[in-house]
Amino acid sequence: MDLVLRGLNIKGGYEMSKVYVDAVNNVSLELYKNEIFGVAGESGCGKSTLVKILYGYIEPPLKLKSGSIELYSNDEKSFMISSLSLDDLRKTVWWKHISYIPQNSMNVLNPTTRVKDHFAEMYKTYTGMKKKEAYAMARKYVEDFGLPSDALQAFPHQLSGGMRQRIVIAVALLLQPAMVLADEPTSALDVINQRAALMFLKKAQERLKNTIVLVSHDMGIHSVLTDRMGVMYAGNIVEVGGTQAIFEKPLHPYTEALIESLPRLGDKSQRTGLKGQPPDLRQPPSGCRFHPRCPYSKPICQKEEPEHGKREKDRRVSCWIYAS
Amino acid sequence: MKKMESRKFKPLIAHMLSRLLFFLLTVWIGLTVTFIISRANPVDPSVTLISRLLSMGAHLRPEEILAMKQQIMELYGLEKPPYLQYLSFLKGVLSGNFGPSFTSFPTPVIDLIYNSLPWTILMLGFSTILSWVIGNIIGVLAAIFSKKRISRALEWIAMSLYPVPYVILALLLFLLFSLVIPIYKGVGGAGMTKFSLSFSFIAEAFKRLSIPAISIIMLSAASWFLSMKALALSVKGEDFVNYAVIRGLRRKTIIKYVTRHSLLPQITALALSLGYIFNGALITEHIFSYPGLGRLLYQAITGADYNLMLGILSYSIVGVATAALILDLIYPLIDPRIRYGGG
Repeated sequence: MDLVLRGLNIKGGYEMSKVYVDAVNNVSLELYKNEIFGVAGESGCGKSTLVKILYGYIEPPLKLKSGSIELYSNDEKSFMISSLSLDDLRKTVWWKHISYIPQNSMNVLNPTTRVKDHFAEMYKTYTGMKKKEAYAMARKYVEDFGLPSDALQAFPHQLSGGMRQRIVIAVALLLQPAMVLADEPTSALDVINQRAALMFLKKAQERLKNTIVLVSHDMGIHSVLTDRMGVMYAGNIVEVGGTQAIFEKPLHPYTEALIESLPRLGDKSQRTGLKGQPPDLRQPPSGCRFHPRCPYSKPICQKEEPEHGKREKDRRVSCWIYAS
Repeated sequence: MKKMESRKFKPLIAHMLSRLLFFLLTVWIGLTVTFIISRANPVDPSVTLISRLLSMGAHLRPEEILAMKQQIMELYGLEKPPYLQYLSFLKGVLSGNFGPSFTSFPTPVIDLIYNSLPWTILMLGFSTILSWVIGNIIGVLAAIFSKKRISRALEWIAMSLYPVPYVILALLLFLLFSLVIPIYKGVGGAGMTKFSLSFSFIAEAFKRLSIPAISIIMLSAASWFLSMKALALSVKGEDFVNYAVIRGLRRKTIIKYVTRHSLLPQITALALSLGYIFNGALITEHIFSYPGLGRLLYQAITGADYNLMLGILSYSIVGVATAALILDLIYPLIDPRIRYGGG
């Protein structure tokens, strides 16, 4: 499979005058062409921060401490996102090769401009198109996408949440980027609209054959939609693998607990959650960050960070249980 | 979607009608309250006027005093029952006839107001609009470059200027420009009450007007600045602005986004403070003996000139309410959420 993005040993977090929040710690990952990669994990585990770093949108207090991110575009150019400035990213990488669907995406459209202006702005910024031409292009694009072209004339507040959601997805795919980062795109929608929006995204992905990184805390979404997934805990990706394989046989104790906690049809037994709280990332635990809550904790877990080691095909786990 | 487009003007018309209704209601309530307060006043204006005449040395017999009182009451329309007085007061407001002034008898109140109004509009209109423009431009820039040191310095200056009362600053400037740097030899606008549009008049007016105006501009620009900076900072943190940044839009576009959104509430505030022009700048005008509505109101209060007070108050009620009405009517043009309902 073709590599689209390679992140190596990414370390980053929020640096304020006195404290440092260690939000992403030593994350390495490889993303391939034509796949939906899910990032799962509880609130505050660093999912959104990781996505921001992958996008290169690093503004204080967020800081990238070390690591590299390299993006390979459809036309086989490569971009070192981690070493480009915001201005360079804007000029050469963003939206043409990598785009973004933000959190709370049904409320991100500018309330005082029409929907068509959102498309026109993008054409104008990235292709230097004139306004009139941009409107015409937007109309054609939206129709090809299967969205009502009337929506273009509307102001955002006149549209339903689900429609605004789809508009934001359409904006993200406008210039056919190699990769789309979707940060909890549907968390504000009800389940029916959520399904519609996600199916819309998936269909577009199947057509464009690009890569989507889908961040969600909802394991149900991952099981339905993603091809591969990474599970994050306290700033680390603790396990990466095919979604199906992970659901069938979770390897990391945290993934195991996460999947164990999901309700199943017909099973009425009480779900037992994990004991304890996720750690304070201002002072993360030593060694493996999961050790205070881990049922299989060993002495070494407190002292040393486990390696993100390869297990089976396409499967990586960071846990001392599997250290030989 | 088609249906929505064809109905889009209905909420607009409903909006305008309801605003117009509110305008009429507000003016009516304001005028009524003003009338009630003036009639609830225990001071009898005819007695005040007669005692003033007596104190000036006029010798009158008791019968003469009674006859005079009767005459004055008739002149002021005070002999009629209250509801008729109320009706003729409302009629007076509509026709601009508030009766004669007590202190400058027999000049009609309306003439006094019309003499002062242009002066006040000139000074307050000019200084309000100028301070609004200055405060907003600096405010938006300070919010966009909020991490720069100068932005914080400006905020400190504005914060320390903002709570200073107009009186103190006006007095300080008066002292500064008449004693320390004697460029202000004037007596404000006194002695040049004729208002014309000739060049020499405008030059002269500008000279007399500049220092009282500066005291107003400095303080209100500081407060416009503070509110604009706070507004623009909060707009800057909103999701749609963040999304614009993520989308890689140009800095110019993002500044436009932020400015437009933070201006909306500032336009409201501007219209309201333009409405307050009809109150005049009481203390500033008094200190610089500037012949505006504020000084007139001061004279009316100290001279117990009820007709004049009622006249000025009615004007300011209508002025503020009209400003609010105009604002409500133009708001749909600047905010589509009102134009198309919902939102």
